[in-house]
Amino acid sequence: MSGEMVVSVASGQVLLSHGASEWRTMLQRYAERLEASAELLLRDRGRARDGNRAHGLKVHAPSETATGESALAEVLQAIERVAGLCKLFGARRAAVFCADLATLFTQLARTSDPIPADTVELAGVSLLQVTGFLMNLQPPVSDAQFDLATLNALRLAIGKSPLPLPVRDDFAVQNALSNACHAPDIWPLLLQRVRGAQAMLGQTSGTENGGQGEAVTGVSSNEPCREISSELSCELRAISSVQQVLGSEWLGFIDVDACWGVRQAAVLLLEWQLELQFRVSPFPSARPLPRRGRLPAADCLLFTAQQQWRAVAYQHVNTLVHSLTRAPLAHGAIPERIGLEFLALCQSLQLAGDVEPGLAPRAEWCLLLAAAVRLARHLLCWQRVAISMDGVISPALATRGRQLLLRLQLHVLESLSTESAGVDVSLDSLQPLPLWRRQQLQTLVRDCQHFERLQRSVWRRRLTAEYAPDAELLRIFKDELRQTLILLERNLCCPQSDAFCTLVARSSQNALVVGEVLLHEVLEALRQLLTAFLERQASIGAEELALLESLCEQLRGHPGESSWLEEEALASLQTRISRCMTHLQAQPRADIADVLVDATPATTPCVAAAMIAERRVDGARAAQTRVAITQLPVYLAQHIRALLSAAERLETCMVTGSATGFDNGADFAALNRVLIVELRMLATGARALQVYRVARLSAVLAELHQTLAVPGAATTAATAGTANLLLSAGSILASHSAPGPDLLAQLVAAHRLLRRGLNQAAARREVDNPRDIIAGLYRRLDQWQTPSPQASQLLHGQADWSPQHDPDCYDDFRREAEELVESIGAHLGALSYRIAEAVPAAFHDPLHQALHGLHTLKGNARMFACERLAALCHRCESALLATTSTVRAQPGAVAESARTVHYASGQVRSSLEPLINELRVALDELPLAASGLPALLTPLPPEHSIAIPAGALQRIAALVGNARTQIRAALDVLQACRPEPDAARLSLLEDLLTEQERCVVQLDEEVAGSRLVSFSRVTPRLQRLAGRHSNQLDRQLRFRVRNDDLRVDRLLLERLVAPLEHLLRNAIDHGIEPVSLRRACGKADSGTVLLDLQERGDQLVLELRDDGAGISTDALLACAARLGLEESAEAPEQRLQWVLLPGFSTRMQATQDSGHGIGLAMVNSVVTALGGRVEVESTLGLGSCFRLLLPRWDIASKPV
Amino acid sequence: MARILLLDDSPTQTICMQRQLHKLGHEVCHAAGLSEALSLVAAEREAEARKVPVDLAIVELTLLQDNGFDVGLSLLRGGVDKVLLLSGARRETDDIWAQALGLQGVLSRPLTSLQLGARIAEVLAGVLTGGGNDVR
Repeated sequence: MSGEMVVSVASGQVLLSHGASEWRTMLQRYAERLEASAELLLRDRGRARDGNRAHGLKVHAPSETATGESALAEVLQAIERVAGLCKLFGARRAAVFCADLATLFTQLARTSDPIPADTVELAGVSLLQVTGFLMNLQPPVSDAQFDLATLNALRLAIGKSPLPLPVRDDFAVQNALSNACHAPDIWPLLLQRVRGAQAMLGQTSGTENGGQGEAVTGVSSNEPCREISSELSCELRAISSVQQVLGSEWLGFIDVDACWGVRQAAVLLLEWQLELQFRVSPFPSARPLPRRGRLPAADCLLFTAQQQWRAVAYQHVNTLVHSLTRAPLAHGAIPERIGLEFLALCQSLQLAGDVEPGLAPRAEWCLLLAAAVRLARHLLCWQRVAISMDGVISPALATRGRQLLLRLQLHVLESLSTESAGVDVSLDSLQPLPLWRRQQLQTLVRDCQHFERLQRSVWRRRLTAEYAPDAELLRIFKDELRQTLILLERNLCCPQSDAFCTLVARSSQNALVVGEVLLHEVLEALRQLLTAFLERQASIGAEELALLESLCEQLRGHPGESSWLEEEALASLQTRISRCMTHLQAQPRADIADVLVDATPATTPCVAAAMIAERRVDGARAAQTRVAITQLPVYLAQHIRALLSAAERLETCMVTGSATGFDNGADFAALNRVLIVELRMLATGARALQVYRVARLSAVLAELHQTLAVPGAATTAATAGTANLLLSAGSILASHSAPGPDLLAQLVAAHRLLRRGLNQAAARREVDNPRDIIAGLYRRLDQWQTPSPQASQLLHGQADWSPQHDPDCYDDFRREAEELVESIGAHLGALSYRIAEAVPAAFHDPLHQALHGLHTLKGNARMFACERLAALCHRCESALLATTSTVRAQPGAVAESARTVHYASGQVRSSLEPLINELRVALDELPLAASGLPALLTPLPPEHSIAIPAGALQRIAALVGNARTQIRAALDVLQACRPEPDAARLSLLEDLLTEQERCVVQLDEEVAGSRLVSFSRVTPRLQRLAGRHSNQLDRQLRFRVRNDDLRVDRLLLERLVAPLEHLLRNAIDHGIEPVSLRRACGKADSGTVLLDLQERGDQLVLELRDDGAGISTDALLACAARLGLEESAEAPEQRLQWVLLPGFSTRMQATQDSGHGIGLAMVNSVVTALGGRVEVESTLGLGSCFRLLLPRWDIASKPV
Repeated sequence: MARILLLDDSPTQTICMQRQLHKLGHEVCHAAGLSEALSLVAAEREAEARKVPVDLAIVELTLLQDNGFDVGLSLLRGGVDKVLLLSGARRETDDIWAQALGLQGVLSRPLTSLQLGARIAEVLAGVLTGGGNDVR
């Protein structure tokens, strides 16, 4: 009874907070349903007399496919819900009536004997009675509305005693109802309860696992039989009842009497939570989806690969359903993502099915998903055309397509949820789908096909009406197609993505004009694929080439004839295109498959499948060249206008007669200033986007303009006077000669090339190589600067630079050089600042650091025959020494005269900054890899660069922009405040500063986020190591990594690999015993090593646990004695920490890999250097555990 | 009506566009490449001694040998007043970029005569339009 109370109270809250109007409609709906059933029953009286109940129901069941059982079940369900509702309203008599009615129906369902006709009639009339009651229901419900006579008749029929006179007590529920009037919105409330239930579940499973330790949770799989606690099941029922009343159709309703295992409960709660989260979130489309969220309750369900796959897939489809139902109905548009997600799901299922058949048990499943993919692609394609042609999508396309898609999704969802709720679905235990389900599916798939065909013919008619393709147009189309084919085939020999893309895009548009709608669909898909390749700067692989080839094959026939394009061939092409697309998308972004962490192939079909797929794709692509094309992001385009107009003016000046275009130098100086800023911004942006050619050109141009602006750097003999002039007036150019005509021409040419490059990138074409122009600019720069014959000589020999040494070392050198240049720049900044601040004693440090860095760089560069870099370093060194020598000689004098100080600091800045920039550029010029590939064509290898998603970069840029404006505004307000501070202005200032702080915090998070990478990228490496090493030592081993989807700082991860590898080797070598020994100890043959990753607050905890021999503390004592440690003072637990000491080894004999007493010390020192610590735990005979505790966030701020 | 220069290297698209423009009552001249277009513009200017050789140029964004942005810019410099780009796969960045370059906008294919007429009228009237083929 108490359980029922919980149910009622919860539902009561629901009821009141949800608004009366919705309730009315809901009740009406139930009433209508019941009425239909009642009528059915009554009409069938005749047949029922003949005794064939099931048959009677079946014939008149509302849906043709539903059998008698399901119709009856529907009625029963409805009655039960109504019973719940009546209870809620306090209509006790009605509730009892409904319960009795339900019993009657259950009896009807069970008996196979002929049912007396009057019983059937009674059931029908009773149903009508309920319906009438429901229809007339008004919020202050009077029980008296219910006819007691009918109730008692019913009770007699099912063999119960008639009810006594009605008991009119104040039902407790009613009190609860009135108390809960102020209840907030229902969904958050419900979500809270679901979370509570999950916590309960987590607790129960937690306490029972606790004794066995963390490592075991992953192994035990006999848990699902365990039942959940009674409170939890009560809670579950309560929540379920609330949801029943709310009518959330696609949530599982639970059978109140069923016994619930932990796993089913977890699945159910997971589903509920997902569903509710969507309802609760205010902006469902803008919010990031809960991807792979690890819920406490879901954890114990995510044991096996199958379950995991299903859980994740379920989440995906659920998301899909929601994104579809929530997409703005007004436009009728279907979200683009749906197609892609379906595609991913379909591919992943196929892949999984290849490896482990049990994972994709049903052929119907694949059929369903394939149909969904096809439909989604079809809809998206025509949606685009429709929007482009009319601005609106035709209602037929929108409504029907949406409906079909939704139905497909719901089917997928349903089968997923039923299958994931089942315990251990394997191939043997799988029941074939019931016939009606199969028929339903087939009908749905056929519907989709019909729909597609219909839409195509509709479009064909529309396009024909618009373009009226006559004989002339067709002839031209054929000619052009033939031409395109020739071009395509020529391109196949030396593939170039952008040319392919253009050709395909053109053909796809042409197909539209002549009404070849199916061809357009295929070509459009292909165009998207090729564009995706371009944007990722990936070159197309063998598979795509084969695809293009077969496309040519298809197109080669005679257009217009019936035999020309076969529908099936095109459909298969489409499938192949989508496969390529998924592969491409699966590459950078780990998708569905990678949530699996188990190591042994037998249990990780998805990991294996993903790896197979990856290898296949990689192998195909390796040989192709790379193309420097990318999509220009919005923000760059927005800022480009100033640069372009400035360049335009420069050009006009040249055309109208060189320097005379400028009235005076100041005019040019202003233009110059604009150009410097804009070019620098462009260089940074383009570099971040990996449009290296544009980046390099703009960087060099910026430097040139900088030199023009600061003649002090151009003419090295800058006097204190000029420097003063520069500082005071900034009109140095008035005295300086305006740029000569040849210089101007050079600048204009460079700017033109820059603009062309930008246009090319924007139009998604390959960017022209700016090599010649850059060389010219350098020559110009070198003329102005200290004439260094050696350097200018080397300039012309640019092409000869080639790393002659070991490629690996070269990579290291290059990377180190980048770091050195950065640190030199930082030190110089600090130096000039300190000089300016007149702290003479303090600038020795940065000076020495900078000199040291330069020297190292110079030496390295010589070693790798990068003479230009070396020469530049030398120039920097001498310039630095020359500038600072005066300051260093007389520190006292410096402090005296502010003017001199300014001069010195200015000179450090003006003379060295260009040099440092030049260093950077020279570095960029170096080949990126030693393989002899041209540097321009090879983007940085992934380890040396961070790929920031364009979206993130855009957000970062926007945040920086905001922060900048706010600072500006705050300063303005401050200025205004200065004469007379008033409260309003101060509060405005405060607001601005708060807003700015928020901006900066967000920015910080963005940047930190873009530094994070998934730990899973090192998992395969560790697994390989484990496999190899255990084979060498002849041990049997299961190595598992848990939670490796945790995102870790990239640098941290890089530095952790070596320690982790060592610990792993150590565990295998010292920990896991040989099989014979393990058997003797009564352990399983194969040892287990588990690497567990966790986030605890700001800490990252990596735990490597093995179930091997453990560490003998006695042996430690002996060894400590050997090393002369004070052994007696330490407790046994403390002694374990000794193993981290250098030279400490319990082995008498070192093996090839371990036993030197170095490795663990290395681990310790690395972790300590990273600001963390190592903990050691061990139990002799049971295993040991090394725990690395590391700070998560401040890693980047630590020196390398 | 207006004199329109159409620059596209695909014959099929060219003929379709020409028909649509004719239907709208515009005068169309066609060029398959930049140099041809520029000489055409120059010739027009010489022969007719007009101030504005053509009222509007419509340029395909993805040409085989060139890109529409560059071509559009050159045309602007060559004396054409207004340039519209035409793309089969338009994106929002295209519009922004086109406007940054001083072009009039991007039309996306396929488009109906109605939309084409409306956009051309807008552009000729001097309204800078953002994106899409929405008839406003």
